[in-house]
Amino acid sequence: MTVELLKERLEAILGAENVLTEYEDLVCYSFDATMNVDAYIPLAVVLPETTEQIAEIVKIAAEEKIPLFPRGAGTNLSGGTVPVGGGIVISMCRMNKIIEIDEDNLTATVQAGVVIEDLINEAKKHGLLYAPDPGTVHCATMGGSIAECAGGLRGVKYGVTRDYVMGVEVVSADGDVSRFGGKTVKNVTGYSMTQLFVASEGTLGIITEATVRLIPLPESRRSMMAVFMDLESAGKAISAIIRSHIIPATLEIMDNATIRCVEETTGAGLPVDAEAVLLIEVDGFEGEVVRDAERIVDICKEFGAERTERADTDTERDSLWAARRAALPSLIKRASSTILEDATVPRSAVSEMLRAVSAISEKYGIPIGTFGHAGDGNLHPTILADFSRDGESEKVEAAIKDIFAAALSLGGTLSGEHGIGVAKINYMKDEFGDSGLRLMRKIKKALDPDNILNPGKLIPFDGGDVI
Amino acid sequence: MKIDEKILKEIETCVRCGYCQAYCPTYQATRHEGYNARGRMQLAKAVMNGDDISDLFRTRINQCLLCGSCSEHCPPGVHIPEIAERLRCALNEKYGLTAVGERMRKNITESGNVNGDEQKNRLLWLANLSEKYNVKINAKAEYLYLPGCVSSLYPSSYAVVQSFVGLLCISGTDFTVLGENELCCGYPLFIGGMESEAKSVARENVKCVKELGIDKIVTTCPSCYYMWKHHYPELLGEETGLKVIHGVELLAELCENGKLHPRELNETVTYHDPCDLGRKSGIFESPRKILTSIPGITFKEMRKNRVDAVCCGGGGNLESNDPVLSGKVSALRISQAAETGATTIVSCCQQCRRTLQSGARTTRTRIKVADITELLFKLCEE
Repeated sequence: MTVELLKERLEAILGAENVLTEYEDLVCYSFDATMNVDAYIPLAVVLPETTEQIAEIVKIAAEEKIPLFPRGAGTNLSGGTVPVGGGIVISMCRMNKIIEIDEDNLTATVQAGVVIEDLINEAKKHGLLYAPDPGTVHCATMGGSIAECAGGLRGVKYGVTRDYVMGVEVVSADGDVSRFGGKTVKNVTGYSMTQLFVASEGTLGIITEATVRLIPLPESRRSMMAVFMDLESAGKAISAIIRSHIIPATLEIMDNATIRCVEETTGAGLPVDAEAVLLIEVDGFEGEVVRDAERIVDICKEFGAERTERADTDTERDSLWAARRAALPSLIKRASSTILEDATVPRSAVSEMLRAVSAISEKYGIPIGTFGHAGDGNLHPTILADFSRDGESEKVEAAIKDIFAAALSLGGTLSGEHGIGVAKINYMKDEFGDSGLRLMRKIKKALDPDNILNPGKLIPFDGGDVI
Repeated sequence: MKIDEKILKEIETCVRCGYCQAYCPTYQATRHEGYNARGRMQLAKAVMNGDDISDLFRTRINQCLLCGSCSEHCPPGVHIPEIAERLRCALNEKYGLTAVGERMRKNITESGNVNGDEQKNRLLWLANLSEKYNVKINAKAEYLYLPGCVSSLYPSSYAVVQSFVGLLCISGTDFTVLGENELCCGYPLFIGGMESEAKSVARENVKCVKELGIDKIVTTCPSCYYMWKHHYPELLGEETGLKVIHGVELLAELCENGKLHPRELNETVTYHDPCDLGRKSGIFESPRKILTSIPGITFKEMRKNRVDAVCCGGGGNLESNDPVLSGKVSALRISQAAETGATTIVSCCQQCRRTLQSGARTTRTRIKVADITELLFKLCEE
């Protein structure tokens, strides 16, 4: 089918203004937030407003075997929405209605293009919380965050997106529309299809609507900061906090390279020779929160924290968290390209993983700043690359390979929350071996036999390396 | 296309994180990446490597409101408005002006004002101003008041200049206006990518004020304010030696010093920060001080206020370049104002007032739109 004919057929479904085929518009959908993945110009971009329109688009694509690339805000960090090889990009951003907040069942039902923060704000009006909060919470969409199973800062206590998705509406590769799960807490009818689509990265179906769990908004919260001159002590303090049966809402760490960067850009007053800064927040009922905050400060001191600070007001809290918020921007400003990884280890291995990353940084002579969610073991080694230097790509690739190997050897995983996409697809074998890959490939082939749903992502369709 | 290295480098600092989607008003109004700051930067990067520049690329660059909201929240801190201005310049140099740009150039450089009106009409607003208010024209005074083109030439905006003049008179402030000698400040030229034309207007304006021997300028237009205060020294390569303030700063001072005594107003009011006054110039508190000091008033902030305020849709010459898109942005801002439950949305800018009024009209939102001068004048007039 010619592009002209394809355009005509898509326009018949969506109206001319919702089908983009001009080069200038296609460029804007050729990339996502992943720095080390090449851009691809798609054939067309569509901006649907209903599930029915998407079903019709999928039917055309199935008939003509045209690849489809569902896309939310395009903020993912694994190349998951890049239209590799070309095809039709389906932007979900105009399907942004919050359909319902159900206070009796503690659920929200949303269209896929709803921005996470819009749901959080809406739930808040009812005294409720939608807990997943990835760093891109203010712009990323619900559909995208479900398809990638986004995590965030509150993972240690509240879990990740997966733990909140109760039901989905999905358009499958043949254009059928199905609904799985719903508002019931208990549901064992059939396979756990809802969960199959979570973290499927758009490779098994297009999520158009979802019902998610809401929880009561915590009454109170307290934040603390602890500065450690050596990493081991920080690691021991993390373990001791958890072992004392306190589960903080967030437990974040910044390594020395990150601390230096933050200090240089913000002058926040962090000691530049500190090996780790922990930022901790507890939430819950006031009495419990005050008690836990005191105990955490005591534990940090006991394990040799050089300095501890506690925020009792919102203003103090904001200034405490300013350093953590500045981590990524400060690192980004230091390099022409930054590659943000998310290798994840059991939390008991956080300090070992940090040591391994700094050894890798030294080995290749590439600066890597690591910060992240120490409480759930999800770290963000951030590679500061300069691809104008000779041999930089190879060195970066080798460093990434070493980081993955280190995480796997510590009992961890390639990705805690960013997904596999194209960026990590060739490492899947390292985690699952041939048998694991074969099984996943069987699922993919059963649901999408012609490989039209986000091809080239997550799982090598025909085996072997993809790129 | 000829574009300086510095700007190219700046474009390359965009890490494509997409955070700007939460802040770019034209993206918010369309949910189309081509209307987003990231989209514009990546498009510029892709297109600049080739020789062929299309009209659509130009359209996209001209659709930027230059409001700076994206830059404020951009992790690597890309200066998107400056980039868009430089790109507009480069596009004009290579391809000549657009029809809209050419009309603007002609109006400003030949007629002296943004809409190509006769300069003598700049004082029409005086005709129905009460005779008790005495306005000096081209005379020696403490302040030179520059109402700007829109307030002096669009009858629907006369209220701004009339109210401000009334307030100056009531408070006993010594001021003068230039009348037909006032020239456009050149801001529309500057942001339309006509830097050399803007520079000659700047030179002429500064000369005119200096000849009058006044060194304090007050304007009710945030764009005139921003242009005189920030761009003139930059364009002319030297400080102007003039003290430039925005009307709202003077009004706040007059209220505080007891020179103005607003009567009670039992209404819920919200405030819209104009981009050139708020985010770009850091003037957030003066208007809030005035509003909260009015007896009886209930003041409600919009969800997005101060540095986070969403442009009214009138920035970056968008109203001329793409009125439909400008209308969509105004409708978005009006819906945020309506959320507060306010019955009046106040701003400090004749352009915000125009676009927000049209936004309220098209969305059939029951909310009054007023410039702070209008609101205050009604409450102070005897």
